[in-house]
Amino acid sequence: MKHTISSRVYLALLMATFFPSFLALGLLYHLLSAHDDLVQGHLQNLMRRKTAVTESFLSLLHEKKSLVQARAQLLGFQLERRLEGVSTPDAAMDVLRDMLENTEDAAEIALFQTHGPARDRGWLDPWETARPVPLLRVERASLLKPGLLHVTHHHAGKRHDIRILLAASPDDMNNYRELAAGYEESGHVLQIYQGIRKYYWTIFFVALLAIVFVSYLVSHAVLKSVTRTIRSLASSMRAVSEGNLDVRLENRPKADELAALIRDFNAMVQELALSRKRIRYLERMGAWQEVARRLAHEIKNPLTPILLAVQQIHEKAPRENPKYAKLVDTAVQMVREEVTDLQKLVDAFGALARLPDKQVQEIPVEEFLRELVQLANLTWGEGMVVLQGLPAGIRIRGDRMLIKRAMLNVLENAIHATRQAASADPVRLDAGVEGRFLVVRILDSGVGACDPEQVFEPYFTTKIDGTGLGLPLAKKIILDHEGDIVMEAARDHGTKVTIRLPRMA
Amino acid sequence: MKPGVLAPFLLVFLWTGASQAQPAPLRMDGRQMVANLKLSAMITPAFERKMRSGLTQRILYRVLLREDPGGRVVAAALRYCNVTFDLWEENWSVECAVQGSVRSLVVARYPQLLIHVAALQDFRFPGVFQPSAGRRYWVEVEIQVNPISRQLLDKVKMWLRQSERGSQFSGYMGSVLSLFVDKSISGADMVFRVESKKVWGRELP
Repeated sequence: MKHTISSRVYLALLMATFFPSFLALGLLYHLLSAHDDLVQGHLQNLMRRKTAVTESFLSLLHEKKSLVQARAQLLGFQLERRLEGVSTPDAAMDVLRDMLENTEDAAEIALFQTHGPARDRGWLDPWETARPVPLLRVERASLLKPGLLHVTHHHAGKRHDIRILLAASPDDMNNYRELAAGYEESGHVLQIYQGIRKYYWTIFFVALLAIVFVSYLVSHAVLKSVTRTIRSLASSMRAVSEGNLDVRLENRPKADELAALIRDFNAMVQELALSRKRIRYLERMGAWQEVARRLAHEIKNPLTPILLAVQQIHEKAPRENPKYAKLVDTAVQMVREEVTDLQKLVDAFGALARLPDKQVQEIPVEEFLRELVQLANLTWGEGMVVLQGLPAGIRIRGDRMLIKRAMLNVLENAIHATRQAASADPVRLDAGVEGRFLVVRILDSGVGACDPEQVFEPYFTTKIDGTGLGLPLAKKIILDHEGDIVMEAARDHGTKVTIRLPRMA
Repeated sequence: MKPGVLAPFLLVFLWTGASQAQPAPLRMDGRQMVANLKLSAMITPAFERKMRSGLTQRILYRVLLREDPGGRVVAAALRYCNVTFDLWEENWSVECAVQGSVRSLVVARYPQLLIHVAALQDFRFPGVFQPSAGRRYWVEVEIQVNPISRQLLDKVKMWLRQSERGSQFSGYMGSVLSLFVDKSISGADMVFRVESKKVWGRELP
């Protein structure tokens, strides 16, 4: 796997997602295990209580039935005794009615003809269809309804057989059934819980995978732009390291750290490009300076002997022949003029070749520019240069004389262009501050530069008497001071030269 | 040892003694396979307590006829019994349904009850069956006493869906969980498994 930033970021995201997930998984496992113990314990407790309740109730019910049976037996004996003195059926009926009324739970009392000992007769259940017909019978209809609990007692008497039916309330039994059914249902619910509990993991894992998948998609969408920017930054860096300084990154719409990084990267590459241009220019200028120095040396040395030789020729030339004398005068005059021009050229070469070392000092910009404009107006005429903007309290560090020389060169060029265009407008000098730079703009309404780039090349001039060294010299001085100089066509007409010099903090 | 502890063993002993007269576990009646099997595993104190609890006990029998080798199920049938002990009258009402036919009876004694609920008597597998002479057959019975009812499963589903105290999300989760509450959730108060002896197809009477 390639160890890219994006792969590490994704790995970190996966770790950040999976680690808490596995922790949650472990936690859930232990919680569910504890819960299972609780449920299991509850289930066992429930079943134990159900057994106890069942046994207690069955015992109670058995006792209750025994009690009712005993009461029925007692009633049988009582009835037999009361019937001993009764001789008519009506009187016997009265006895039965009386007993029924005085026995609240008696549902039926019936007299049958005696058939001897009970064990030989096999009494039939009162609810069976084929039952013997009673001699006398009283009943309480409200206690004969189905649903009530009944105990039938058959008493084999000497004169009559007696059947006594007692009723008991089914409420206790129904309540027990409700209770026991509730216990059983609770047990089943717990079994269902245990049955569906295994699906908790399925649901949990599916939900976990879905969350991880969605998190991955969201993270991927979020990181896509970031990683793309980082990748393009890396490829741009590579391009810069290979020498391509034209590469630029597209600015991000969001003002985040990456946007700042891109902005700084673009500024850095721009600065590198400018530095490279500056270095190349200075190298080229250095070569030109060397040429100028050699040319100045080679030309300057023979000029004085030439002048002396011509002077001697002029002094010792025969004057007899007027035509010849005139020819000599003219020739000497031409040689003197050309030597003078050559002298000027040599001086210019010398100025270019022998720029003095920088004497760095603090320069108060306000005072410096006022002095510069004053000097320019003294040199080229009052009102030729006007000062417009002037920042207060700004200082720069540099060689005062060299910077003044550079700016005078630029002003001279501007004044020349203005005069060439016969414009009445003065050259304007406007100064201000942009970031950490002092910016001086020199605007003229002259004929305009033919090629703003070419004007800074040595020996390029459009002036008849120009050397083509003024602006290159100005540029070299400005570049030597970590500044920059740019010429461009002005908005209406003329040119605008912008000089940027680093200001002191 | 208490006499109460010995009682079930004695009951099993007496009951299995009676099985001497029982027919073979598998036989052919025409083209139908008939099983006769004592489900002795059911005769436990716990089962008796349950039968005497006074509640209606539902007993589900899954009867499978398997063949060897392979253990493939070649026939299957269900039997369903409701047994209610009348706590006052102390007798049992038994109602058994097999393949659509219902048989009801009342018994007063526990051994009588066992004859009906703890045995398969002339239990006929549905459909025509042709046994293979070279294969062995046996009956496997799974008995569930009070299996979880469909009604209770539906009730639990409803509880899960209608979360009264939980949030709306709990309700959704409950609905999701209720999807898993289905027939596959098995459970019963008691589960027994009984297998008969294996009988060669050629030896089937």
